[in-house]
Amino acid sequence: MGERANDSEWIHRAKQGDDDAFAKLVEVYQVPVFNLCYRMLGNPSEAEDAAQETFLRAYRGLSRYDPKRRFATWLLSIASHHCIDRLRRRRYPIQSLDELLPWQQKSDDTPGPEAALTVKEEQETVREILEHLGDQDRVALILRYWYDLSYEEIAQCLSISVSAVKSRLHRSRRYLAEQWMVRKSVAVGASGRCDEASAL
Amino acid sequence: MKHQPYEFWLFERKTLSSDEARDLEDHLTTCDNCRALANAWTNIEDQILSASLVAPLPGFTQRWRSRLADHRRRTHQRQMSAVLFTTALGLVGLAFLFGTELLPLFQPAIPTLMVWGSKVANLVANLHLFRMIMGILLDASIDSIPLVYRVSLPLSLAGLATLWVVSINRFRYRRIRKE
Repeated sequence: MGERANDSEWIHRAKQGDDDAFAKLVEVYQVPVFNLCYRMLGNPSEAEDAAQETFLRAYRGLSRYDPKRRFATWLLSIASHHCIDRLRRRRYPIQSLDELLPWQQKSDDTPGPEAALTVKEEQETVREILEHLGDQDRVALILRYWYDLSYEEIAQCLSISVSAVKSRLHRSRRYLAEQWMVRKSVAVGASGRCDEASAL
Repeated sequence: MKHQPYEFWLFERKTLSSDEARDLEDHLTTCDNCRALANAWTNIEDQILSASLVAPLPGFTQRWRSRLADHRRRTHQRQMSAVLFTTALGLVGLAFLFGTELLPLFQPAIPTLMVWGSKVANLVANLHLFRMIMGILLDASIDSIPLVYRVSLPLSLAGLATLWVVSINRFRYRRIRKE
């Protein structure tokens, strides 16, 4: 999700009040922004609203955008903060991610029906585990794996330190792996069980 | 068995040096727990990396344009409301300020104003009374006056009034010409 050649031109024109130029940026970045909102909120209609709000906030705050930063990272930062705010305000439980049907998967390169079923089941497991991660941990993980952002970029995005990013990612990965083991009923030999006392 | 720093390394395998990677592999051959954790994470990571981006429904940009227009309209309304509210608040403030300042200036005139007010009220009441009396008199006498007089009397009064107005106008005109 690198910066496109036309981006800086469109950003410049949008800063001068050209709505069409900003609409082009919306066209280009709608998928990454929507995907982040969807992965965070787990609900397509809420993700649509959050993505729209993200672009509106970006439009209003365009004069504060620092061209030294990647535009995509700046947008994802706005989307992340907005989603976390929404999740904080949310009083009802997260809805199932099964509502994906009416929405579009960007690419569909699944091999065959049986393999596809297995892949889908495993992805569902990952989604379910992801839903139970803390908001701050989940957003760090999404930015790292779906957008391939560096630790520094994630730190900048979430306004936290790089060590906090590392800590969150480690916690998230460990939680995901443990939950995966629980769900897949992976047996661990007694001899290899972690002895915390000896580890210290 | 000591698991640190392997529990950290197994999630960061791509960033390890060759020595660290070798140490980790050695540990994984002997530690079932870390090996299970590593395998689980590898599966999870594969799933995450193979997950595609989810796109919104078509027409997202158009919906954003509508939202922007709606936002502008609401902002305009909010600004108008703010201006009106501020103006009203300013007027109330000014009225209070100048009211308290100017009230002592009108203090001596208040009794005179009240006298004039009562005179006007009396005049209105008298006119109302006069109209009532005339109404009663007309109602009482209308049947006893013959038809000829009922027609000729208003005509005569109208003629006299006209004559009076014309006479006054002529006298005024002559006086001006003499001057």
